Amino acid sequence: MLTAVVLASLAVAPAWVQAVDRAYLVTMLTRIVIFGLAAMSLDLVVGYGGMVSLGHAAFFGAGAYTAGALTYHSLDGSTLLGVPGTQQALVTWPAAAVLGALLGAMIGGLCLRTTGVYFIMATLAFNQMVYFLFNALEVYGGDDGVGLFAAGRSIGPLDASDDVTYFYVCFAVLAAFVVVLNLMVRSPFGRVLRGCRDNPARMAALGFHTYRYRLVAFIISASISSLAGAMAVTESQFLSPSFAEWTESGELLVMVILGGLGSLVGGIVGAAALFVLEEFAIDITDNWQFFVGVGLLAVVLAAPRGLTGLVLGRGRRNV
Amino acid sequence: MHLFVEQTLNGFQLGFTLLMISAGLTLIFGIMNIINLAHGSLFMVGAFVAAGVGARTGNYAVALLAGTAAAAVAGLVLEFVLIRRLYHRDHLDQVLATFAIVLISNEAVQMIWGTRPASVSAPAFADRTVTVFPSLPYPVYRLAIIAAGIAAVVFLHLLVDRTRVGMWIRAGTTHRELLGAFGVNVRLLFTVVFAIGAALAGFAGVVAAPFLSVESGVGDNFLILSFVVIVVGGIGSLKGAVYGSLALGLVDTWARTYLPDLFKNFLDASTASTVGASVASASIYLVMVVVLVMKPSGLFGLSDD
Repeated sequence: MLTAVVLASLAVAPAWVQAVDRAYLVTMLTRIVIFGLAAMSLDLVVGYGGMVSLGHAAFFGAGAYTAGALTYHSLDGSTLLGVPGTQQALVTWPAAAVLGALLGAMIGGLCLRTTGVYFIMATLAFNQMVYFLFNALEVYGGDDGVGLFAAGRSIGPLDASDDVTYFYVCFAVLAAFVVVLNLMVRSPFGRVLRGCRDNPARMAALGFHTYRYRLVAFIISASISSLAGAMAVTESQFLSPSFAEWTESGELLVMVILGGLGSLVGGIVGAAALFVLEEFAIDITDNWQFFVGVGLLAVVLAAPRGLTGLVLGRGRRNV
Repeated sequence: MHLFVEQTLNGFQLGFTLLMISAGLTLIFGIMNIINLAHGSLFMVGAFVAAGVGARTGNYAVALLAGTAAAAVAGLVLEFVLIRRLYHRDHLDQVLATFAIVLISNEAVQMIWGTRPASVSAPAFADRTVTVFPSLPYPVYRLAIIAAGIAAVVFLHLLVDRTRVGMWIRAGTTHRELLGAFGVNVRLLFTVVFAIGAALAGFAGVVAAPFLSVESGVGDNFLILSFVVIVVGGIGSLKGAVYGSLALGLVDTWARTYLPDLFKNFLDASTASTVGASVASASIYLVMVVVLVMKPSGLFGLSDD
């Protein structure tokens, strides 16, 4: 129900911001959709899988660098390891999703050998490794990054250079994944995953290979986050290591918690809350993240079920 | 050979700096099983206070004392106001609450000190060099950091292995409830350990500051490096923190020195420097990968709970 309300609100939001003469807010709405998608995929891992990943910006950044690099080489006319570049999102986005899945298999495969604080620290460490690798890529401007402003936004035959068109493309992707992920968490796979979270010993005794279920969830999540990263670089048309900064991982986690853990749609709500807060607070102070910190403390200490928990007044804190 | 000796000393310097940060972290994990992302902020507090005090007084010793004390006080306040509310919360809440502290403190230092990077100048005596190896002059300040690191190891070793408090710390790592049942005030013990860890992190922030541009978030990378140390060394193990820090300090420094040249043997110069720099920046994480594969609970860690 809440999911339908959130999606419906997002669907009419561009018309609304144009009606109130705030058309520039459309890019903010697009960012809500993109980061909402990444936060939702993180919720699959944290909320349903009980794996507190503090490294999802690595996947987000990997997606951004896959799509960004292909775009860069297309503009440049050069090749990437012998492959010509392209600006076609129907190529760059799936490429990002595949690369994200591979990276997720590597990082997840290693980190899932541990649990608890080890897992948190290991995911964060790999996040930093990926961040420094992007920093070392001088061809894409090193730590300064590189602008891709000459690139268009081609999605198949559709030209989405216009911000509103691009919003609806991203919205369609988000809506599709809302359906897919909701079906997934209700499927037998989702039930086993929650079982691994709540009582791994019993699941193992029942014959389930808990490591494999967790790893598959982690890979799916990494792949979706990577896709979101590709969508983000197509939106901003600027590629830089900041996509993979560790604080970005923290912020994705904050979105999940603000919106409500283990609800999927909460990730979108949390992303919206954070970007709307930024939009208003940045006029008052450059240090608006100070208030994000204060708000986050308040939510963690006082409202552990997040904003959706406050609205709905039900649901269970699971992790 | 000169290069090797020099870089090895640099590696020890990085290693001992990491040790001062990760020793506090690992003891805190060990006793209270709590993850604290704000430990890097204590490093930052030390560096910033030292920069401020150093600019006013021009006296490094005063700046060092002020930075260390400020971090210890900040740690005490943090423990008193927030951390003790998190003992019985899950790791996710601990991550989020201490991440909130990271956001708050990163913004707060910008509000107080501005966005322009500050700097701490090394003490006057440190401009000098000594000959550590035939015709190899080496900066005294870097040697002083190594000496301070060795002093910290000796102090922590005596504290943890030779005193009653240390006995409680070791007992708390494995049998926290039992320790409380024997009448030890575990909370007070933890507060003390937390303050010591905070002071060490602040101290590390001050001594490392002359090599850094002191700006918002300056402690974050050191925090993450300390996490790698702890994953490699094992949670709650002081020994693990010592060996892990030194090993990673050496690996990182050696890799940055030698890998770009090594790759030149089979790649062209520009590719070699890019690839070499990339692999070098990833070197310590590759060590972590090996440890995760071989012994997921860390080299000196207790078995996973």
